[in-house]
Amino acid sequence: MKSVSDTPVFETIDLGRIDSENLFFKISFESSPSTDSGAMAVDALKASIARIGLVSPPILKLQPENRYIVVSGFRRISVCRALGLQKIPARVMGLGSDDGQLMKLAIADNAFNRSLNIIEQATAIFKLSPFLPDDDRTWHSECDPIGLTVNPGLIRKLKKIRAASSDLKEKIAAGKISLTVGLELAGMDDGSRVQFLTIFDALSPTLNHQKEMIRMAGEIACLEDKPISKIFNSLEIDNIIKDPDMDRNMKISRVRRKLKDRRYPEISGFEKTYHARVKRLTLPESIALHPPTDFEGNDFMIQFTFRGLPQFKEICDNLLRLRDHPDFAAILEKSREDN
Amino acid sequence: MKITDLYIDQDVLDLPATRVICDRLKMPGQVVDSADPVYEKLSRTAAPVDQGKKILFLTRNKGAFLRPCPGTDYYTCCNYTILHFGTFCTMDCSYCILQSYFHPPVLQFFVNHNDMDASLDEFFQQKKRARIGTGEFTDSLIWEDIYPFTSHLIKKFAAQNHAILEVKSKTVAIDHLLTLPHNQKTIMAWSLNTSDIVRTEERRTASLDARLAAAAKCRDHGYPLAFHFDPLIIYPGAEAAYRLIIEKLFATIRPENIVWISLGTFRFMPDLKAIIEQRFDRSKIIYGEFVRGLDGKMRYFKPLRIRFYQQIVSFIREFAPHVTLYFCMEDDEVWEKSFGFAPHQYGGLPMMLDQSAARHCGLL
Repeated sequence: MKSVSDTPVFETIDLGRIDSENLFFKISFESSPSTDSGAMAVDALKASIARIGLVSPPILKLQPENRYIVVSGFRRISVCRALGLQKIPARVMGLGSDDGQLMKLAIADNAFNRSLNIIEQATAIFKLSPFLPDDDRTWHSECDPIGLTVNPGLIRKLKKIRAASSDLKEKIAAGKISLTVGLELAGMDDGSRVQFLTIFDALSPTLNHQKEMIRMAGEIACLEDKPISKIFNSLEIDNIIKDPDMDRNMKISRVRRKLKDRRYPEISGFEKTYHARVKRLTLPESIALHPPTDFEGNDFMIQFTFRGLPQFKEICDNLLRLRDHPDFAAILEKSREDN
Repeated sequence: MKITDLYIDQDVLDLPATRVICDRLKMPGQVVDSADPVYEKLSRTAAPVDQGKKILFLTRNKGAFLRPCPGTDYYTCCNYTILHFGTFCTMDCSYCILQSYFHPPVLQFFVNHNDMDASLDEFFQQKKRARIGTGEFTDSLIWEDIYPFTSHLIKKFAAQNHAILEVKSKTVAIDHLLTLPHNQKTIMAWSLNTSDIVRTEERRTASLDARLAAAAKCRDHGYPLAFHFDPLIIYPGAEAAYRLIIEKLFATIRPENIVWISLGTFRFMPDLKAIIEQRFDRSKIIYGEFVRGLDGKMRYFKPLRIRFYQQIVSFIREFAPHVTLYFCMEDDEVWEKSFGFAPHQYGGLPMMLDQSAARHCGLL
């Protein structure tokens, strides 16, 4: 990394001369102050500055008429204003400083003080783009020294996610939605995205369950030529989420079941028939019947456990009973119709 | 065949087939000493599958020209022998396994035909019954524009009496083959599907009517015929649509002219799903009710495909009760529930097909 051409000077700057509205160098993407985590972060910084002052002075770039724009330290400056300070110490870069180098400085100053969230990484990549040629090797060699650990695949994803809606970016920045899921949601219409965000917010399903829900809903929408939001409405997903009689896991399970029934009606129907038949076999808990995976193979397995001869005899009686049970015959025949 | 880039392996520069192809394409070829520059060019492109259909690499088949079909133990294979003379295809079917089979996919034509002829001669000398096909890693007939490869094979197979050649295609480039002395040792075969599937999933292929018309022309010139309903695709209205094409087939071709008809529902390696989603964004065929089969491929849920097969089999049997009908890669359960028997009851699937070939093609 080349050094910034202009030597920085530490000065005490009148806060009134700093233009915080100019966001050219802004990398940070905090959770909205209205959220708990956003408010807590601001409160902690406020308390720290009030007690021991500004430990790390912001970086400013000199502008004509002795004014300044912020290179790094937007939140610190905002907190100082809120505390009623008039002047703050700052590291000032000269008027002729190279913007590309200052952008790297802004990124490095953020990245080496804390880990950048996904949206901040995306912003950093976006803001660096005008200053770097479009080749993977240069990006790797320039990003590493400023604390951005990226590869070509990640850069492509980050560039895409930057265009996402603000509600989605907020969830990604807060770590509630992964980048992979975020990219999927970013490609959806507003109604569908909001539906998913509502479900994920309310139920916090695992990443795998999130991906499964998105995949199944997307495939149903494609098969039925309807937007995902209409699919959710017809499945009455909202009612499941709001149901006070179900806990979170039950709700997740119910949403997945509804989606599976719609996406795979034959398979779901067959499985229901199978389970109904197994139930009618009235097998004791000590005997378990395992069908072939997805009913594709032909080998069924019966597993039993017993303690002592009496229980073994009881199992044998049950197994013999299966031999002539019509439901057992239908299970082995993989018959679709249930009588 | 629309080729934008021609690469020639240094090793085959002076072979006769190379010269013929260069003359026909009328384009300068770039001579390379390995496949690497071809693969590099492809891997740099944003759409390697599309680009691979326009780049032709003339090279040597360094492996075996004749190789067994890569079947698996779990499902019944017909033990077909593949004549491996080239790879990939200029047509563009959404479900085509070749999109993910070759890394990267590229049109390769193996021009060391002396080696191929030697392999065939050696094979023929064994005088064992065999079914040999050219339509596994490519379409059999797309190459005829640039080299009369199938003409050569038809004449070669005509000179022996133990093996048949199956030429499998979705094109209708058959006029130059009609008057060849084939001795009934070449079966002309077409892949058939519903008109919806041909229109939406089989880009740049001949229409269904054109395929049937080409089959009729071949029949008129004494060629035995075969048809492949593979992949059968399950979608709303599919049964009625397949019924229509089956009616059309038997309105054009009499059952006694057909050596065999194969059936196989759509199956694919899981990797293919993302490729189809990306390349055929309007296609819905990958959103069927699939489960992972015992060979790792995604297959329709078994009870679903059995019910579908039962319908298709009953339609075909209505018009052709005695035609040899078989499944490509299904197990005994599917056979028994759809046909009422398993292949082993008739000596196994290879024997069933060999016997049909013997009857129709005069094999010894």
